[in-house]
Amino acid sequence: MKPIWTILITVVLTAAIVGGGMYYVMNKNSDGDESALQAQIDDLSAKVSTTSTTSGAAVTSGAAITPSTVVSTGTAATSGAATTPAVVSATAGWKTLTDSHFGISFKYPATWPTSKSAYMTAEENDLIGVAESWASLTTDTLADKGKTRYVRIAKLSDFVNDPSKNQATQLKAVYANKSAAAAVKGTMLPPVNAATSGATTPVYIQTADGVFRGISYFASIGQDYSTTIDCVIVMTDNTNVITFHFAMPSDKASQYTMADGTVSSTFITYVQSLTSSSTESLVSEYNSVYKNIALSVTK
Amino acid sequence: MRSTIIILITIAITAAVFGFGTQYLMSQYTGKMTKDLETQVNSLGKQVNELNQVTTGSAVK
Repeated sequence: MKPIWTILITVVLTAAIVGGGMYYVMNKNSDGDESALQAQIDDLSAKVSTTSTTSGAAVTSGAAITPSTVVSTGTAATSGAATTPAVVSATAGWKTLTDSHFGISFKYPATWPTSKSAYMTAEENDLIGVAESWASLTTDTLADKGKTRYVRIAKLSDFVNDPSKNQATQLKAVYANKSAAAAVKGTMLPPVNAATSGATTPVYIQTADGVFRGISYFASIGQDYSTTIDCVIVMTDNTNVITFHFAMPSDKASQYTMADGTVSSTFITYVQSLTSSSTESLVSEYNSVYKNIALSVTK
Repeated sequence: MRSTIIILITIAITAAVFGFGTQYLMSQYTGKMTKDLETQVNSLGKQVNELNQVTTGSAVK
Protein backbone atom coordinates (compact mmCIF):
# COMPACT_ATOMS: atom_id res chain seq x y z
CA MET A 1 0.00 0.00 0.00
CA LYS A 2 1.23 3.43 -0.87
CA PRO A 3 2.13 5.67 2.07
CA ILE A 4 -0.42 8.28 0.97
CA TRP A 5 -3.27 5.78 1.39
CA THR A 6 -1.95 4.72 4.75
CA ILE A 7 -1.93 8.35 5.91
CA LEU A 8 -5.40 9.02 4.52
CA ILE A 9 -6.90 5.96 6.21
CA THR A 10 -5.15 6.93 9.46
CA VAL A 11 -6.55 10.44 9.26
CA VAL A 12 -10.09 9.21 8.61
CA LEU A 13 -9.99 6.61 11.38
CA THR A 14 -8.45 9.03 13.90
CA ALA A 15 -10.93 11.76 12.99
CA ALA A 16 -13.84 9.36 13.35
CA ILE A 17 -12.67 7.99 16.66
CA VAL A 18 -11.61 11.29 18.27
CA GLY A 19 -14.38 13.42 16.77
CA GLY A 20 -17.06 10.83 17.48
CA GLY A 21 -15.79 10.23 20.98
CA MET A 22 -15.67 13.93 21.77
CA TYR A 23 -19.16 14.42 20.34
CA TYR A 24 -20.51 11.55 22.46
CA VAL A 25 -18.95 12.83 25.69
CA MET A 26 -20.04 16.43 25.23
CA ASN A 27 -23.50 15.48 24.05
CA LYS A 28 -23.94 13.29 27.11
CA ASN A 29 -22.90 16.12 29.43
CA SER A 30 -25.12 18.67 27.75
CA ASP A 31 -28.07 16.27 27.89
CA GLY A 32 -27.83 16.34 31.69
CA ASP A 33 -27.81 20.15 31.79
CA GLU A 34 -30.61 20.33 29.24
CA SER A 35 -32.74 17.89 31.22
CA ALA A 36 -32.20 19.83 34.45
CA LEU A 37 -33.13 23.12 32.82
CA GLN A 38 -36.07 21.56 31.01
CA ALA A 39 -37.31 20.19 34.33
CA GLN A 40 -37.07 23.69 35.81
CA ILE A 41 -39.01 25.06 32.84
CA ASP A 42 -41.71 22.42 33.20
CA ASP A 43 -41.96 23.08 36.93
CA LEU A 44 -42.14 26.84 36.48
CA SER A 45 -44.65 26.52 33.64
CA ALA A 46 -46.86 24.45 35.91
CA LYS A 47 -46.53 27.09 38.64
CA VAL A 48 -47.41 29.87 36.20
CA SER A 49 -50.42 27.90 35.04
CA THR A 50 -51.54 27.09 38.57
CA THR A 51 -51.04 30.62 39.86
CA SER A 52 -52.80 32.14 36.87
CA THR A 53 -55.77 29.84 37.40
CA THR A 54 -55.80 30.56 41.11
CA SER A 55 -55.63 34.31 40.57
CA GLY A 56 -58.43 34.10 38.08
CA ALA A 57 -60.63 32.17 40.50
CA ALA A 58 -60.08 34.74 43.23
CA VAL A 59 -60.94 37.61 40.91
CA THR A 60 -64.02 35.91 39.51
CA SER A 61 -65.47 35.05 42.87
CA GLY A 62 -64.52 38.35 44.39
CA ALA A 63 -63.17 36.44 47.32
CA ALA A 64 -60.25 37.84 49.21
CA ILE A 65 -58.13 34.76 49.42
CA THR A 66 -56.03 32.22 47.61
CA PRO A 67 -52.60 33.62 48.17
CA SER A 68 -49.84 31.51 46.80
CA THR A 69 -47.50 29.46 48.88
CA VAL A 70 -44.62 30.98 46.96
CA VAL A 71 -43.29 34.40 47.70
CA SER A 72 -41.05 36.65 45.71
CA THR A 73 -37.62 37.58 46.90
CA GLY A 74 -36.87 39.90 44.02
CA THR A 75 -35.92 39.50 40.42
CA ALA A 76 -34.45 36.35 39.05
CA ALA A 77 -30.74 36.05 39.66
CA THR A 78 -28.53 35.77 36.65
CA SER A 79 -25.05 34.35 36.58
CA GLY A 80 -22.80 32.60 34.20
CA ALA A 81 -23.67 29.31 35.77
CA ALA A 82 -27.06 27.66 35.84
CA THR A 83 -29.69 30.17 36.84
CA THR A 84 -31.77 29.76 39.94
CA PRO A 85 -35.06 31.64 39.82
CA ALA A 86 -35.58 33.83 42.87
CA VAL A 87 -38.67 31.98 44.03
CA VAL A 88 -38.65 30.82 47.62
CA SER A 89 -41.42 28.79 49.10
CA ALA A 90 -43.08 30.30 52.15
CA THR A 91 -42.96 26.83 53.65
CA ALA A 92 -39.31 26.15 52.84
CA GLY A 93 -37.65 24.30 55.69
CA TRP A 94 -40.96 23.39 57.30
CA LYS A 95 -41.78 19.91 58.52
CA THR A 96 -44.51 17.78 56.99
CA LEU A 97 -47.13 16.06 59.10
CA THR A 98 -49.02 13.22 57.47
CA ASP A 99 -52.10 11.69 59.01
CA SER A 100 -51.75 7.98 58.36
CA HIS A 101 -55.48 7.28 58.65
CA PHE A 102 -56.73 9.94 56.26
CA GLY A 103 -53.58 10.21 54.15
CA ILE A 104 -53.67 13.98 54.42
CA SER A 105 -50.45 15.96 54.75
CA PHE A 106 -49.66 19.54 55.55
CA LYS A 107 -46.57 21.55 56.42
CA TYR A 108 -45.90 23.42 59.61
CA PRO A 109 -42.97 25.46 60.99
CA ALA A 110 -40.03 23.27 61.94
CA THR A 111 -39.85 24.89 65.37
CA TRP A 112 -43.30 23.64 66.33
CA PRO A 113 -43.23 20.41 68.31
CA THR A 114 -46.09 18.02 67.63
CA SER A 115 -47.91 15.60 69.78
CA LYS A 116 -50.99 13.49 69.49
CA SER A 117 -53.21 15.05 72.07
CA ALA A 118 -55.34 13.02 74.43
CA TYR A 119 -57.64 16.00 74.69
CA MET A 120 -60.32 14.51 72.47
CA THR A 121 -61.77 11.90 74.79
CA ALA A 122 -63.88 8.95 73.79
CA GLU A 123 -66.88 10.67 75.31
CA GLU A 124 -66.43 13.71 73.10
CA ASN A 125 -65.90 11.49 70.08
CA ASP A 126 -69.21 9.81 70.87
CA LEU A 127 -70.86 13.15 71.29
CA ILE A 128 -69.58 14.43 67.99
CA GLY A 129 -70.09 11.11 66.33
CA VAL A 130 -67.15 11.14 63.97
CA ALA A 131 -64.09 9.04 63.39
CA GLU A 132 -61.63 11.73 64.11
CA SER A 133 -57.93 12.21 63.89
CA TRP A 134 -56.42 14.68 66.26
CA ALA A 135 -53.02 16.15 65.67
CA SER A 136 -52.31 18.79 68.22
CA LEU A 137 -49.52 21.19 67.42
CA THR A 138 -48.41 22.54 70.76
CA THR A 139 -45.44 24.34 72.11
CA ASP A 140 -44.24 25.03 75.58
CA THR A 141 -41.57 27.53 74.75
CA LEU A 142 -41.85 30.72 76.76
CA ALA A 143 -42.16 32.89 73.67
CA ASP A 144 -45.21 30.96 72.54
CA LYS A 145 -46.86 30.82 75.94
CA GLY A 146 -50.60 31.00 75.61
CA LYS A 147 -50.74 29.99 71.96
CA THR A 148 -52.96 27.11 70.95
CA ARG A 149 -52.70 25.22 67.71
CA TYR A 150 -55.08 22.43 66.82
CA VAL A 151 -55.59 20.38 63.70
CA ARG A 152 -58.51 18.05 63.31
CA ILE A 153 -59.22 15.75 60.40
CA ALA A 154 -62.44 13.85 59.80
CA LYS A 155 -64.73 12.51 57.09
CA LEU A 156 -67.34 14.98 55.87
CA SER A 157 -69.87 12.15 55.64
CA ASP A 158 -69.49 11.51 59.38
CA PHE A 159 -71.39 14.71 60.07
CA VAL A 160 -74.51 13.84 58.11
CA ASN A 161 -76.48 12.46 61.08
CA ASP A 162 -75.18 14.65 63.84
CA PRO A 163 -75.99 18.18 64.99
CA SER A 164 -73.32 19.53 62.65
CA LYS A 165 -75.23 18.40 59.56
CA ASN A 166 -76.06 21.98 58.67
CA GLN A 167 -72.43 23.04 58.87
CA ALA A 168 -71.40 20.06 56.75
CA THR A 169 -73.94 21.12 54.11
CA GLN A 170 -72.59 24.66 54.18
CA LEU A 171 -69.03 23.45 53.76
CA LYS A 172 -70.05 21.24 50.82
CA ALA A 173 -71.66 24.29 49.21
CA VAL A 174 -68.45 26.26 49.74
CA TYR A 175 -66.57 23.46 48.00
CA ALA A 176 -69.03 23.29 45.11
CA ASN A 177 -69.40 27.05 44.58
CA LYS A 178 -65.78 27.98 45.30
CA SER A 179 -67.18 30.80 47.38
CA ALA A 180 -67.63 31.45 51.07
CA ALA A 181 -71.11 32.87 50.47
CA ALA A 182 -72.83 29.73 51.76
CA ALA A 183 -70.90 29.65 55.01
CA VAL A 184 -72.30 31.30 58.08
CA LYS A 185 -70.21 32.83 60.83
CA GLY A 186 -68.72 30.27 63.14
CA THR A 187 -68.78 27.28 60.79
CA MET A 188 -66.38 24.85 62.39
CA LEU A 189 -66.03 21.21 61.52
CA PRO A 190 -65.44 19.16 63.57
CA PRO A 191 -67.38 21.23 66.09
CA VAL A 192 -65.91 22.24 69.41
CA ASN A 193 -67.49 22.10 72.78
CA ALA A 194 -67.26 25.86 73.15
CA ALA A 195 -69.15 28.96 72.11
CA THR A 196 -68.13 30.93 69.04
CA SER A 197 -68.74 34.64 69.32
CA GLY A 198 -67.58 37.74 67.52
CA ALA A 199 -66.72 35.87 64.33
CA THR A 200 -65.80 37.75 61.17
CA THR A 201 -67.51 37.02 57.86
CA PRO A 202 -65.83 33.89 56.44
CA VAL A 203 -63.61 34.36 53.41
CA TYR A 204 -62.92 31.75 50.77
CA ILE A 205 -59.59 29.92 50.69
CA GLN A 206 -58.27 27.12 48.48
CA THR A 207 -55.01 25.31 47.96
CA ALA A 208 -52.96 26.15 44.89
CA ASP A 209 -54.24 23.06 43.10
CA GLY A 210 -57.80 23.79 44.20
CA VAL A 211 -58.28 20.31 45.70
CA PHE A 212 -58.94 21.55 49.22
CA ARG A 213 -61.36 24.48 49.51
CA GLY A 214 -62.95 26.15 52.45
CA ILE A 215 -63.19 29.18 54.63
CA SER A 216 -61.18 31.14 57.14
CA TYR A 217 -62.29 33.60 59.74
CA PHE A 218 -61.27 35.23 62.98
CA ALA A 219 -63.38 34.80 66.09
CA SER A 220 -63.52 34.63 69.83
CA ILE A 221 -64.03 31.02 70.81
CA GLY A 222 -64.05 29.60 74.29
CA GLN A 223 -66.08 28.05 77.05
CA ASP A 224 -65.40 31.16 79.09
CA TYR A 225 -65.59 34.55 77.45
CA SER A 226 -62.06 35.92 77.26
CA THR A 227 -59.88 38.31 75.27
CA THR A 228 -58.37 35.46 73.30
CA ILE A 229 -58.63 35.68 69.53
CA ASP A 230 -59.02 32.58 67.38
CA CYS A 231 -58.27 31.91 63.74
CA VAL A 232 -60.23 29.07 62.18
CA ILE A 233 -59.61 27.58 58.76
CA VAL A 234 -61.88 24.77 57.57
CA MET A 235 -61.15 23.02 54.28
CA THR A 236 -62.54 20.02 52.46
CA ASP A 237 -61.81 18.00 49.35
CA ASN A 238 -65.51 17.01 49.38
CA THR A 239 -64.63 13.81 51.22
CA ASN A 240 -62.48 14.79 54.16
CA VAL A 241 -62.57 17.88 56.28
CA ILE A 242 -59.53 19.40 57.93
CA THR A 243 -59.90 22.13 60.51
CA PHE A 244 -57.11 24.35 61.75
CA HIS A 245 -57.71 26.27 64.92
CA PHE A 246 -55.16 28.74 66.23
CA ALA A 247 -55.66 30.93 69.27
CA MET A 248 -53.67 33.45 71.26
CA PRO A 249 -54.33 36.37 73.59
CA SER A 250 -55.28 39.60 71.87
CA ASP A 251 -52.73 42.41 71.76
CA LYS A 252 -55.57 44.60 73.03
CA ALA A 253 -56.39 42.32 75.97
CA SER A 254 -55.71 44.99 78.59
CA GLN A 255 -57.80 47.53 76.67
CA TYR A 256 -60.87 45.27 76.69
CA THR A 257 -60.48 43.91 80.21
CA MET A 258 -62.69 45.69 82.75
CA ALA A 259 -61.53 46.74 86.19
CA ASP A 260 -63.32 43.76 87.75
CA GLY A 261 -61.54 41.36 85.41
CA THR A 262 -64.48 40.73 83.11
CA VAL A 263 -64.32 41.28 79.35
CA SER A 264 -65.83 44.39 77.81
CA SER A 265 -68.80 43.76 75.54
CA THR A 266 -67.08 45.88 72.89
CA PHE A 267 -64.47 43.13 72.48
CA ILE A 268 -66.88 41.22 70.24
CA THR A 269 -67.26 44.30 68.03
CA TYR A 270 -63.48 44.57 67.89
CA VAL A 271 -63.09 40.90 66.86
CA GLN A 272 -65.77 41.31 64.20
CA SER A 273 -63.84 44.23 62.72
CA LEU A 274 -60.68 42.21 62.16
CA THR A 275 -59.42 41.73 58.60
CA SER A 276 -56.31 40.15 57.17
CA SER A 277 -54.62 43.56 57.29
CA SER A 278 -55.41 44.33 60.93
CA THR A 279 -52.55 45.00 63.33
CA GLU A 280 -52.95 42.07 65.68
CA SER A 281 -50.36 39.39 66.39
CA LEU A 282 -52.75 36.58 65.50
CA VAL A 283 -53.58 38.24 62.17
CA SER A 284 -49.89 38.69 61.49
CA GLU A 285 -49.29 34.99 62.17
CA TYR A 286 -52.27 34.16 59.97
CA ASN A 287 -50.67 35.96 57.04
CA SER A 288 -47.19 34.53 57.54
CA VAL A 289 -47.86 31.08 58.99
CA TYR A 290 -51.43 29.80 59.46
CA LYS A 291 -52.54 30.62 55.92
CA ASN A 292 -49.50 28.86 54.46
CA ILE A 293 -50.12 25.80 56.63
CA ALA A 294 -53.66 25.57 55.25
CA LEU A 295 -52.50 26.15 51.69
CA SER A 296 -49.96 23.32 52.00
CA VAL A 297 -52.65 20.68 52.59
CA THR A 298 -52.37 17.79 50.14
CA LYS A 299 -53.71 14.29 49.87
CA MET B 1 10.51 3.19 10.92
CA ARG B 2 10.05 6.43 9.05
CA SER B 3 6.54 5.55 7.94
CA THR B 4 5.58 4.68 11.52
CA ILE B 5 6.70 8.10 12.70
CA ILE B 6 4.72 9.74 9.91
CA ILE B 7 1.60 7.80 10.87
CA LEU B 8 2.01 8.69 14.55
CA ILE B 9 2.46 12.37 13.72
CA THR B 10 -0.59 12.19 11.44
CA ILE B 11 -2.65 10.60 14.23
CA ALA B 12 -1.54 13.26 16.71
CA ILE B 13 -2.34 16.15 14.39
CA THR B 14 -5.67 14.67 13.28
CA ALA B 15 -6.68 13.91 16.87
CA ALA B 16 -5.79 17.40 18.00
CA VAL B 17 -7.62 19.08 15.11
CA PHE B 18 -10.78 16.98 15.31
CA GLY B 19 -10.75 16.76 19.09
CA PHE B 20 -10.52 20.50 19.71
CA GLY B 21 -12.62 21.26 16.64
CA THR B 22 -15.49 19.08 17.82
CA GLN B 23 -15.22 20.42 21.35
CA TYR B 24 -15.36 24.01 20.09
CA LEU B 25 -18.36 23.41 17.85
CA MET B 26 -20.23 21.49 20.51
CA SER B 27 -19.56 24.12 23.17
CA GLN B 28 -20.88 26.78 20.82
CA TYR B 29 -24.04 24.75 20.24
CA THR B 30 -24.63 23.71 23.84
CA GLY B 31 -23.77 27.20 25.10
CA LYS B 32 -26.47 28.73 22.92
CA MET B 33 -28.96 26.03 23.90
CA THR B 34 -28.21 26.48 27.62
CA LYS B 35 -28.52 30.24 27.32
CA ASP B 36 -31.90 29.90 25.61
CA LEU B 37 -33.13 27.56 28.32
CA GLU B 38 -31.81 29.81 31.10
CA THR B 39 -33.59 32.74 29.50
CA GLN B 40 -36.80 30.72 29.56
CA VAL B 41 -36.22 29.76 33.21
CA ASN B 42 -35.61 33.40 34.14
CA SER B 43 -38.65 34.55 32.24
CA LEU B 44 -40.87 31.92 33.85
CA GLY B 45 -39.40 32.60 37.30
CA LYS B 46 -40.19 36.28 36.83
CA GLN B 47 -43.74 35.44 35.73
CA VAL B 48 -44.25 33.26 38.81
CA ASN B 49 -42.95 36.05 41.03
CA GLU B 50 -45.19 38.66 39.42
CA LEU B 51 -48.23 36.40 39.58
CA ASN B 52 -47.56 35.66 43.22
CA GLN B 53 -47.21 39.33 44.02
CA VAL B 54 -50.52 39.99 42.29
CA THR B 55 -52.20 37.07 44.05
CA THR B 56 -50.77 37.87 47.45
CA GLY B 57 -51.63 41.52 47.00
CA SER B 58 -55.23 40.66 46.24
CA ALA B 59 -55.38 38.62 49.43
CA VAL B 60 -54.56 41.56 51.63
CA LYS B 61 -57.73 43.60 51.81
